[in-house]
Amino acid sequence: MYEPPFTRDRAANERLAARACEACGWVSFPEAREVCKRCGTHGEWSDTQLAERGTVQSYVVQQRLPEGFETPLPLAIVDVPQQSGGEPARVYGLFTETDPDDLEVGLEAEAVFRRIFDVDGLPVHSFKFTLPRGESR
Amino acid sequence: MTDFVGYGSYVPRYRIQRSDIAAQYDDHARGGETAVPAHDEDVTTMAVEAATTALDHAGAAGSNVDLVYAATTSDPFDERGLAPHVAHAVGAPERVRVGDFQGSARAATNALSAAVDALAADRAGTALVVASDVLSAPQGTSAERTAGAGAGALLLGHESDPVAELVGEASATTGYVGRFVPTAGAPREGDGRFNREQYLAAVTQAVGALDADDFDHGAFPAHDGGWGRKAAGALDIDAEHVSTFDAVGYAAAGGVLLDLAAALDAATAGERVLLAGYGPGGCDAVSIERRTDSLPETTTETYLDSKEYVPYGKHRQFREQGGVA
Repeated sequence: MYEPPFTRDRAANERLAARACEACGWVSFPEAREVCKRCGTHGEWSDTQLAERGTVQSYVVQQRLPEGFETPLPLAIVDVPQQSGGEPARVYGLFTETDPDDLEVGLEAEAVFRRIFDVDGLPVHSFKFTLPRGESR
Repeated sequence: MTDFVGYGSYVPRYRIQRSDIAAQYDDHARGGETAVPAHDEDVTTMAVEAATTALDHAGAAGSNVDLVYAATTSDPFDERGLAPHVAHAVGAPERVRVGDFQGSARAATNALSAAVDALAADRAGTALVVASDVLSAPQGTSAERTAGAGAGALLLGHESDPVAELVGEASATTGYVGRFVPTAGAPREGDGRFNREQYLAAVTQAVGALDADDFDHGAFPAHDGGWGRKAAGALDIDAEHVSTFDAVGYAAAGGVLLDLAAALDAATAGERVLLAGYGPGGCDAVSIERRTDSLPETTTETYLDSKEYVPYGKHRQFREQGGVA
C-alpha cells in the first residue's frame, strides 16, 4: 500500500529518474512539473537519468528534528549532472553518515539508497547524499 | 557454463568492536569487529547498493536485466518480498522475472543455482543475483557480538570477455540442522562441536562432488568464524582462505555473496575460487574461474577499510531504528 505520492515519485526517489525541459534544458527533479519553472513552456519534457555523484553547492545543518532523524543533519543543495550531459539538476537532499565538520561547499557527494521513513510500517526508500567511501574516509 | 559479467558487495560504514559489546556484560570477547547498519539502512538498501556496484562493474544498465533473484534470512516482512524492490530500484523493466530465496544462508547459493538454470534454459539473458542480511540477536547473548550485516551481488550473462566463469556446482543436502532461528526468536546453536562435525561432512561431500580440487581461494562463510579454516583443512586443499567474518561478523546469505566478492577481488585471471554456501539442511559448493583481473569500482576491501566505530548504545539504537532489534 504505497501511498499515491510515494508511488508516483518512486522512480525519482529510488533511481534518480528526472525530466529535462525540451525548450530550455532545465531539469525538473524530483517533482514532475507540467510547466517549466525557468522558461514557462508547457508539457515538453524528456526523460533523463541523473549521475550518482554531484557537487555540494550549499548546505545547512539541522540540529532539531523529530525522532527518527540523525542530528546534527546536513541538508544540502547538490548539482547532479545528467548521465547524457546537458546542465545538471539542482537537487535538494538529506545527508547521511556525514559529520557536518567534514562537509564543505564544492565537495563531491554521492547519492546512496536509504530508507527515509516508514508509512504504517512499510519502508519508503529514497536517495540520500554522503561523502564517497574509500577516498579520504 | 555461465559467465559472471560483474559483481559487487556492500558493508555498512559503522562498526562495533566485539570487545565493546562484551564489556557491557562484564565479559571478554575474542576480538574482531561487527558491521552495524546505519539507522536508515536495511536489507533492501544494502541489496540495492551491492546490485548497483555489480551493474556498474559490468557496464550494464538495469534496463538490461531479465531476472532478479534475491536471498536473505532477515527479511523483516512475512509478506512484501525483496527481489521486486531491488528490481525496481536498479531500473529493471517491468517484465523482469523475480524470485525470493529465504530460510537459510544457503539461500544465496540456491538463488545462484536457480539463476544459472534460467540462463542455461534460455529463459533469461542477463540475471542479477543478490543476497543481503542484517542479522539481529537479543542483548547480552553471544550471538549479539557477531550479528553482522552485509550484501553481495552477481550479474550473470553471456559475454565474450566475462570477469569470471562458473565452472562447477554440486550440493550435499543432508537435512541436518545446526544453528537455527525461530520466527521472531533468538538464534539457537545447540552442541557446537557436533554441529561442526556435521558442517564439515556436508562441505566435504559437496566440494568432493565438484570436478576439481585445485583452488587458489576458498570462501567458507559460517556463523562461527573458526569453521571456515577447519573446512579448508578438512578438504586438504591448498587455497587461500578468504573471510570477512573478523571485520563484519556473520551475515548469513548476505555474507555468502560478500565472501565470494572478497574472494573474486583476491583472485587474478586464471585463478580458481571455491565457495561453500552452508545453511540448515546442507551445503552448495560452487567452483568459479577468474577470467580477468577487473575489479568493481568499490571493492570489498575498500568497504571494509572505510569505517567508523559506534559505541554499544548507538549500535542498539541503530538496530532498533532499522526494525531489526
